[in-house]
Amino acid sequence: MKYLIIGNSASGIGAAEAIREVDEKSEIVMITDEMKTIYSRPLLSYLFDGTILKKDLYYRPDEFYEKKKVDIIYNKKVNKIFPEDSFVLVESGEKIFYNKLLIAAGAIPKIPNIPGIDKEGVFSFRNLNDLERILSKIKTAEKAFVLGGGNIGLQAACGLKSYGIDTTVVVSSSYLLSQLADETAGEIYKDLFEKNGISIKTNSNVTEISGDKRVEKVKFKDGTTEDCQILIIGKGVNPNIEFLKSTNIKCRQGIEVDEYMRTNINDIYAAGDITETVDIVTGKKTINAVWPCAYEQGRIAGFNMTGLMKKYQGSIRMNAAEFFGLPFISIGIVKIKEEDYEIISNLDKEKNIYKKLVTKNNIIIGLLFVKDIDKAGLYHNLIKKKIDISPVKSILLKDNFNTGVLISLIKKDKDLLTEDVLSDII
Amino acid sequence: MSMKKIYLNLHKCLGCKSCEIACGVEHSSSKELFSAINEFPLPIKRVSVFSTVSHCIPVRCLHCEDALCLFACKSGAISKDESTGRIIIDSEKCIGCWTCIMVCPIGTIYIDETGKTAVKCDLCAEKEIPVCVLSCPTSALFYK
Ligand SMILES: Cc1cc2nc3c(=O)[nH]c(=O)nc-3n(C[C@H](O)[C@H](O)[C@H](O)COP(=O)(O)OP(=O)(O)OC[C@H]3O[C@@H](n4cnc5c(N)ncnc54)[C@H](O)[C@@H]3O)c2cc1C
Ligand code: SF4
Ligand code: SF4
Repeated sequence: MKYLIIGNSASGIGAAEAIREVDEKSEIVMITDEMKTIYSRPLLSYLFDGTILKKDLYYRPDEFYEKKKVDIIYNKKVNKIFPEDSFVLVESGEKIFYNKLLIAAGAIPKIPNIPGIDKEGVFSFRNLNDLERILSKIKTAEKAFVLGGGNIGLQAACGLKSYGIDTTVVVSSSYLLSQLADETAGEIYKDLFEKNGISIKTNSNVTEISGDKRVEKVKFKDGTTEDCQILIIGKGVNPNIEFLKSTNIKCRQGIEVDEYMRTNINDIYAAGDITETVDIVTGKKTINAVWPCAYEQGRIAGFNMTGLMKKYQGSIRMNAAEFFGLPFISIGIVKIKEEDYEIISNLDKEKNIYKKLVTKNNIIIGLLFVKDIDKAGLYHNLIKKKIDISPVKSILLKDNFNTGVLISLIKKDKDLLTEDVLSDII
Repeated sequence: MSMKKIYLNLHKCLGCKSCEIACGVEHSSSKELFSAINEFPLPIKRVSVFSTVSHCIPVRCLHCEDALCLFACKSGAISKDESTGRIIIDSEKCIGCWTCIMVCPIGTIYIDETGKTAVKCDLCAEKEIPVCVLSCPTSALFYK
């Protein structure tokens, strides 16, 4: 048996680790078009703002490949897959054969169609290469703009600011973090960023980028222009499916898989940011492009590539982050679109504490917590299990809601008499 | 793999919280109750006793077979010790992103007093038997 994994990030590593739990002997080959390191993308933001050093970027220790007996091929791009003959064609012309293939090729940044977008000084922020290019230009910059007020955009802004650069975040919506948060939380973070010296420009957009070779000015929707030496694009990602176009692997937005992470083609699996999975909350197929989902999907795919039949329970949109010492967690649906949703929330503006749960028919379908985040996992458990919360609704956001209440809610009282109460509610 | 776990005899737990105190002291630098309470950062206990409808239950990390915190940790700070099965957080590597807190289904990961890293039960890395088990006056907890 020979396993081939395209990609060595969250989902690829998840798969390799799972395969080795079951199959100690067979050959595993991983291939990546990136350079020589096994790093975690989310850590790039911490490197950018100086929280960690480059040597701390690693996700698994150096000896990972050796210990797991994985052959790693760095710096080579897979150009094409030939499912009929079970091989992939690498840029340099060589063929790599496989018995089971995992496509864990992730996502690439969305680049908006703005005149001048290809000028020097305009960057995306997806990999180490991007960050190194940004850092190489940082000494010659005084004014920077970040396009997009999501997690990545805000992290990039913090990075720029840490170098003393005058930084403005430009967002098309009326508040920050509009994909993960509601207006209340978005406002809290807007105030926080402004207090920390980062400007926020809402309801705006960059419509033109000008300059000789390198960006010198950006023009906004309202017609005004400003000087700019660095522009970072943080407008989300697209699944990296371009190189699959010549195959019959079924894609909609991302690669379609069944509950065993199999594509429509025999022996080919997919996982991570490139993959559409069923969202536990909405029941619809979607791409939940976050680290925990990518790892778990890779893990399930890995097990199933060895012949096990493990079902993936589905993905869920989830983000945890912290800016300027203020953490937040956001899970599932946090903004209401229809009327039969109910909201349970409380806000302490002075202390920046905000808690909100969205429920539908007494099932929690979304969570948004700012600052006071330590119990988020309990509600996450209730969301995933679709537990009826009506017996505890009145205390759901109170201090006395705790793991004891959770146990009582999930287990019937008489079940409590067994010894392994806790492992049963996981 | 010889994986030892902490088990609970539910009928015996009185909710006295001796385990909580012992855990806090064990995770202090002095390992003495009276100096531990004046330390900075204040030591954090990694077990909490909760009451359910009918019982008291001390809750700490279960060192899950399929540990969601391990799968979710985006820095690689969480690992599984292959010989003992313990799920360990490397506090040097942890960047305080709280992804693990978001996914632990029983809420047993805590933020340390500095607000910078996640901490949880390490089964008393330096001890043969975890101190919660040793401190329990009714032997509700046992380790095997
Ligand atoms: C700056 C930043 C911060 C982030 N912060 C968070 C966060 O806080 N929380 C969170 O949940 N998520 C975060 N994410 C998102 C998270 O990193 C992704 O969800 C995760 O990396 C997805 O993993 P993946 O394995 O699916 O793909 P990717 O990480 O995209 O990796 C794809 C892999 O495939 C390889 N590859 C692609 N195409 C080819 C090819 N043709 N040939 C060979 N190799 C190829 C690449 O080299 C790479 O190894 C962040 C991302 C970035 C960039
Ligand atoms: S912290 Fe939670 S998820 Fe992680 S091993 Fe312990 S109980 Fe399991
Ligand atoms: S808080 Fe630390 S241990 Fe938890 S997920 Fe983040 S880096 Fe990992």
